[in-house]
Parts: sequence; C-alpha cells; structure tokens
Amino acid sequence: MHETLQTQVIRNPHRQADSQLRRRWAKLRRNKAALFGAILILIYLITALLAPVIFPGSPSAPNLMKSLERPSMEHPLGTDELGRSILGRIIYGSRVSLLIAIGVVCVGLLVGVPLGLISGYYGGKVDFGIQRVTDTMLAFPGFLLALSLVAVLGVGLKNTIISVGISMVPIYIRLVRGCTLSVKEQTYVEAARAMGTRDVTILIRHILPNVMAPITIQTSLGMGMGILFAAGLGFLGVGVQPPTPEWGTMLSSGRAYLFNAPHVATFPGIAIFFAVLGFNLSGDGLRDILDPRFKL
Amino acid sequence: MRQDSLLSIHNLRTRFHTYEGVLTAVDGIGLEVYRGETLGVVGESGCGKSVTALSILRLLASPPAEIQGEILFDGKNLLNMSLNEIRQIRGNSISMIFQEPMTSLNPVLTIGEQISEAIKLHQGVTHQEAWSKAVEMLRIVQIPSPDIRAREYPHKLSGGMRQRAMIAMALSCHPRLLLADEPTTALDVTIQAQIVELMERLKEEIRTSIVLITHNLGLIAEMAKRVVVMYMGKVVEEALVEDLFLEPLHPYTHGLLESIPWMGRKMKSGRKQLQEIPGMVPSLLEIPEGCRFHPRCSRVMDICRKEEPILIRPKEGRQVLCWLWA
Repeated sequence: MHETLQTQVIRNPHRQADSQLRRRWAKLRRNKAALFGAILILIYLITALLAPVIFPGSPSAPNLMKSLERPSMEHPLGTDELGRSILGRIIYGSRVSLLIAIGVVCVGLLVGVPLGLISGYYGGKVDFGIQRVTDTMLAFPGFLLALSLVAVLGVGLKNTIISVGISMVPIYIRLVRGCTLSVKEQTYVEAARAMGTRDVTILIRHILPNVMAPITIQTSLGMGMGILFAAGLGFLGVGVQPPTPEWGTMLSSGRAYLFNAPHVATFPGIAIFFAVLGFNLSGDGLRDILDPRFKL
Repeated sequence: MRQDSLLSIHNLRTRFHTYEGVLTAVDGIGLEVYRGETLGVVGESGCGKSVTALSILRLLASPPAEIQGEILFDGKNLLNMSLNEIRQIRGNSISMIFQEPMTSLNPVLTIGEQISEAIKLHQGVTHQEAWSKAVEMLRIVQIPSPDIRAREYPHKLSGGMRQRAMIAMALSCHPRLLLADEPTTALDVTIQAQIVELMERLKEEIRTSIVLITHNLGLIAEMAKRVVVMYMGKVVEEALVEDLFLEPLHPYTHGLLESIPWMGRKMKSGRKQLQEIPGMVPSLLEIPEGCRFHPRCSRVMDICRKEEPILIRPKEGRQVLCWLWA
C-alpha cells in the first residue's frame, strides 16, 4: 500500500500541472468570445511587431497627388488628406496604441497596486488617507481626469501614457485594497505573522500572489480602456501629435472629410473598435478562467 | 514563581475598542507554563482562550486591541518589546499552530517554500540548507515521500497532512513554547489521534512546552499535565489534570465535565439524560454583576450576585475563583 502510494505521488506532479493547463485551455476554447478576443489581440500584436514587413515604406510621408483616394489595389483602405496610405497608418498606429495600452497599465499597476496593498493591509489612518485621495480621483470621470492631467503635463506620447495611467490608478487601488482586506484575514497570513515574517514579505509573498487574479483581469480591461482614452485624447488633439500615426488623431482629421471621403475616419474607428473589443472580451474570458467558482 | 517557569502571565487584560463599547476579552488572568510541560486551556467559544494566545505573540491588531499586564517569557516582558524584538521571538522561540489546517497554508506557495521561509528567516541559512531542513521536518512529522510533498501545493494535501505540515513549520526552528490553538478541532477522530500522538512525540524530541487550547476535554485528559479553565475572560479554575477530572471545584468545571457524553455511564444524579449548563454565555458587553457565572450556576448564593469572587488556593498548584470555597 505504501509503495503504491509512493509511485502515485511520484507520477502525479507533472501530470497534474499538465492537466490543469489543459483544463484551462479547454475552458478557453469553449469560451468562444474570449478566444475571439485573444485572436484579435494576437493579430494586433503581430501587426505591430511586423509593421515594417507588412507595410514597407513610411506611413508619414505625404503624397499630395493622391490625397483622399478611395480604397484601391494600391491603397486597400484608401488615402488620407495628405495622400498617406490609411492601411499603413493603421498598421503603424497599432504600435503606438499597443505601446500606450502597455504603458498605461504599467503606470496604473506600479502606482495602484502597492498603494492598494498598503491601504488594505495596514488600515487605520494610512488607509483613510489613501482612500480619501482615491475618492477624490474617482469623483472625476476617468477621461476628464486624464484630460485635466494632460492640461498640466502637456501633449505627446509620454504624457498621454502618464495621464491615462494615473487616471487608472484609483481603480487599481480600490480593487487591490478590497482583495487585500479579504486575503489578510486568512489564517495563512496570520500564521506567517506568527512565524515572525516581516510585513513587506507578507505583502509580497503571501498577499500579492493571492490577489493576482483580479489584477490580471483588470489589466486586460485596462488596456482596452487605455487605448480608448488615448484615442479620445488624440481625437481632441491633445494626445499623440502628428505626424506619428495614431488612431484617435486619424479619426479626428478624417472627420472633416466625413461626407466626401468617409473611409478616412471609418477605418481607424474600426481599428479602435476591434482593439478595445479584443481586450474586453479576453478580460471577461480571463475572469471566467481564473475564477474557480465560475465554472463554464 | 518556580525556577523552571518558561512563560508567566500576570494580570493580562486584553480589551477591544469597538463601536458598541469596550469589550474585555481577557480580564486580568494569570498563568504559568513550566519548561517541558503541556498546559491545557479549556473553555467555551468566546471565553478568551484564543485571544490569550494571540496576546502572547502580540498578533492582535492594535487598535482596536489593547493589551495590558505582564507576559514574561524567560524573564523578559513580551509586552515591552519592540516590534523587531517580538518578531525574533515569533516562530523562533514561540510558535503557534491554528485551528483551520485547510486555510493556514498559503495556496500559492509550495509546502517546502513555506517551511523553508520560516527557517531562513530565523536561522540565516542558505536556500538549499533551509530546503533540506524543511524536507527533514516533513519527514519528522511523518509525511510520506517528504521530498516530493515539499514541492507540492497545499491543495494536494488532506486536512491531516496539512496540519502535519503546519506542525512541521511551527517546530522548524525548535521553539521553546508551542501555542496550539485547537489543533485537532477541524480534523476527524482518527486523524486527531495521530496528530495528538505526533505532538506528544515531538514534545519529547524537541523539548518544547505546549499551551494546548481546546474545548475538547478528552484531548486535555490525553495530553495536558495541568489545566486552566476559562470562563468569560477569567481563569475560574486551575488544577492538575487528575484533580480536575476527579474533583472539579468550580461549578462551571463541574458542569463541563457533566456535559460530556460517556458511553454507558450513568449520571451522578441517576438519570440517563446528559447534563447541561443552563443558559447562554452572556455578551462580553453585558458582564453580570458579582460572579460572571452566577446566572447559570446551579449552586448560586446571595454573595455571588453582589461581589466578584476572589481567587482561592485550596492547595499547592490549585486555584479556584468561586465563593463556595472562600
């Protein structure tokens, strides 16, 4: 009996890790919407990485002879008012948008997660202080907050990332604080304290990994939101500045020709739509996969 | 105070400041733990057993908790120590095991990582050394194929195995005092027996003293040498385990013993029905005047309703908080 138990134990670890991955993959495959979202993100990612291969030539060089052309074999999505290929600009724009998406959540995570952990774990006056600042930030609609930060910091790619990132910080603080409040009451946190573990170690080793699932979901949703916010700023002319190809800016410049050349504004809009859809669908899918209570 | 006293608590008072008022969970208790002995602490839920243990290691968040009194461990007052000093004590000289083995291990860390973390913390050894010590501890607590189990996550272990792993972690630094807060409550009876046996054996090997907190009098009879009975934050009786079972002095202890079902035993009263202690434990916010137990006591006297009883020592090592013996 002892022997059989041992052999079983020896064979198990790999197989179980394997089967867990397979189970998650199966869940993802069954969740068609999440799979669709993931494929969308993958397409954007490949496009962004291989932009120079897919579209040789500069997306910003003007060719006024060919301005506002309708979609053709040469320019599948037509050209804009300066005669630049819209396809090319959308392809290069995906680099900017993905960079913004990643940058924005990085800012949100780096600032929001530690503050949320500290706020939830220590409670008391620290918590009160952090939460009142969070309340104030949440009182503004997120986009308005980003817009007013741009007003302070100025336009450009870097400032867009910082502003939109900061506007997401309160969401992370609230989320992480809430999860920390429930995790810190777990016996294993008390047991770790009873073993003499330092607070920093408890926060990083014991609490953070246990609040990762909601953070991961929020990160995916946040990327979609970041792209949308950045496009909004670009549309208003205070985001990424031309000639850098950016979807929101393209949308804005296409607006003037909406009646005689609708393709100029439409295609960047579609690009934004599918990017945000991709992140949102995969965010929802991640929630289903990571939440063990939510069985599909 | 005897020479071989390891932990000596004087007039410990733990209060919680809540919105409804000040709640005194532990009200001026005193107890001694001697080297190498097992002290049992019994009482109903909410009598302050666990709070006492948490107060010793200062694990209660303060505020709302406020701890007063004196807790001498090896002659040093734990309540006066800085946070760094008390952290050196935690897990190293005094460690604790908890009631819920299912939740007392972190689900995202392997068993080995959790045990070696504690070893690294207090012994300043390298990662490899800590790991091999952790595996050794798992072997000592009789977990089969410990080197493989150490690499596994807690969800793969049963409740009994997890409690063994917890014991391995708690004893990994060879503490001199182990606070066992209901270590067997969540386990089924056969596993309970194994855990009790394991703790007994390890107590001899590591020479640690144990404070065994439980409401299971059977466990006390099995493991403890001396017993402290608590009721509503007070120590109402202290005795050697045989004395307590043969001749309980406090009516509360008497009631506790009478309310244990015993196969085939006739009650002293001649009835076959199981005795109970009437009434409920009152809220700690509405402590009865006089003796706290008087509303439920079968031998209540006039004085019990008016004055708090004083601690009486009928003989060496025996204490009772009751007017009956004054």
